[in-house]
Amino acid sequence: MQYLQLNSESGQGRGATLPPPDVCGRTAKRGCALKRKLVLRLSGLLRQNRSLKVGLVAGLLLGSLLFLGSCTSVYRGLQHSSGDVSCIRQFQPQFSNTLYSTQVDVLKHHLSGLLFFKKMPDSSLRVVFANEMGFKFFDFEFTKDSGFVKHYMLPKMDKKVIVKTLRNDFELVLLRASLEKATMLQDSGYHYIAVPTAKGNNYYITDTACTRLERIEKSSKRKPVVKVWMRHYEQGVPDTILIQHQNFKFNISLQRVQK
Amino acid sequence: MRRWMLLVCCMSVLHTYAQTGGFKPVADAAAFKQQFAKASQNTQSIQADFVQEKNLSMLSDKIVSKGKFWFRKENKVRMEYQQPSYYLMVMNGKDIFTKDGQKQNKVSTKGNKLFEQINRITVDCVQGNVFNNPDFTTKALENAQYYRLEMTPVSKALQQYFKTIELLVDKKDYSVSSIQMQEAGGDNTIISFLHKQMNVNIPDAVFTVK
Repeated sequence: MQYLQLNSESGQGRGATLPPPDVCGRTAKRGCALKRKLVLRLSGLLRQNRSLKVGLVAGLLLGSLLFLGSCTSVYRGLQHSSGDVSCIRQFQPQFSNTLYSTQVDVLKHHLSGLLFFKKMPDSSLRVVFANEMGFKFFDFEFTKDSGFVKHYMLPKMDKKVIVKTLRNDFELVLLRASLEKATMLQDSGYHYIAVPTAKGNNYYITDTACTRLERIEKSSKRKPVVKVWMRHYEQGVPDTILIQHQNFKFNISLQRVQK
Repeated sequence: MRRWMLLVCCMSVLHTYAQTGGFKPVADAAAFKQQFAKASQNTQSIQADFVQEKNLSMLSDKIVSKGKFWFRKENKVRMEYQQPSYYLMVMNGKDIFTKDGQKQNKVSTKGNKLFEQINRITVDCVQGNVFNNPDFTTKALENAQYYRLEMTPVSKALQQYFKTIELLVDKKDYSVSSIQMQEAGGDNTIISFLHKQMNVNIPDAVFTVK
């Protein structure tokens, strides 16, 4: 139920000036390439028949303008804003010894178990996922200086791309990234604290007063690839966490349980 | 401060020694096996509460789960976890059902060697019927109160998951008191059975999942 609630909120929060995310979805790239091909073909035709020129130029201009809209970033309409970017630090979960009942849906597979966060004496954070019967899937360490150590990964799942994806996902949740290069943007309803990454930005989206974390988006240059919701904080720890990948089915859903 | 810590360490070591220590190889292995086989033959069903402790050695911490357990001959097992979250696992013949807070899942162990092995290990362990399992070499030890059966997996595939599995068997009634699964990395999982009721009538419905 929680999962559905969170899902239904995913469409909100972006200004009306921006196209909905699915317009710039997976098909957009192919669409853009097709359009370019079409433009080239038409310009060839123009050389052959000059009389068509005026009308077609006008039509083309209009057409490519329309298409340009869907080829650019969904974050394009955001305005620069002023404010303290470090206000998002208040949403950094204060995991000390925290247990979550966990469901993972990846493509056709469903895994469930317990995810355990433990802050170690040296301030590093250990994240262990085991199924209900004690069968361990992974054990990761996020060090104090933003480092990462894989202590264990179930041999069957031990693929570079899986480990990297999980690492990136948890790093979004832990909210430990440096804010040195962060900038603040806004639309009509929300503030977006943008932290540049190698391939795009991480957006921490809050209300305009920065009292509530709406969600986190990890984005490519154009569109979100991962969305994270953290809700119902109690003493600095969110009660529910949902991590949802946008390009393929990979969802991680956590509900806090008493240890 | 240091003296205190030393004292606490000594006491906890002594405590564990009293609980699990003093084990020597079983004197008459053949007689023991015979007795044991007879006892497990007489066990038609077991009903119990269980406490599961997952010990994370490097984190110096543990996750404790609790629930209810049922076993009926030949190969029906139901484990219902109630804390910290709900989880159900039912083995009935060749099928394994699982159910978590969101989803129900059915796996047929037919043709899946690893699942077949897990199925057999579980059923053998709760019955204490481990000497005939070809996947393990088994050593029997005893002290005044318990037998301890140390099972070491033979195949590399199983060694990836367990270093050893140890069963603690009560000398009073030859029932399994705890199962300890030791992982290669130093972590372990201990399932202890409490309030055991042997040979009570357990209806079929317990081993079906709707």
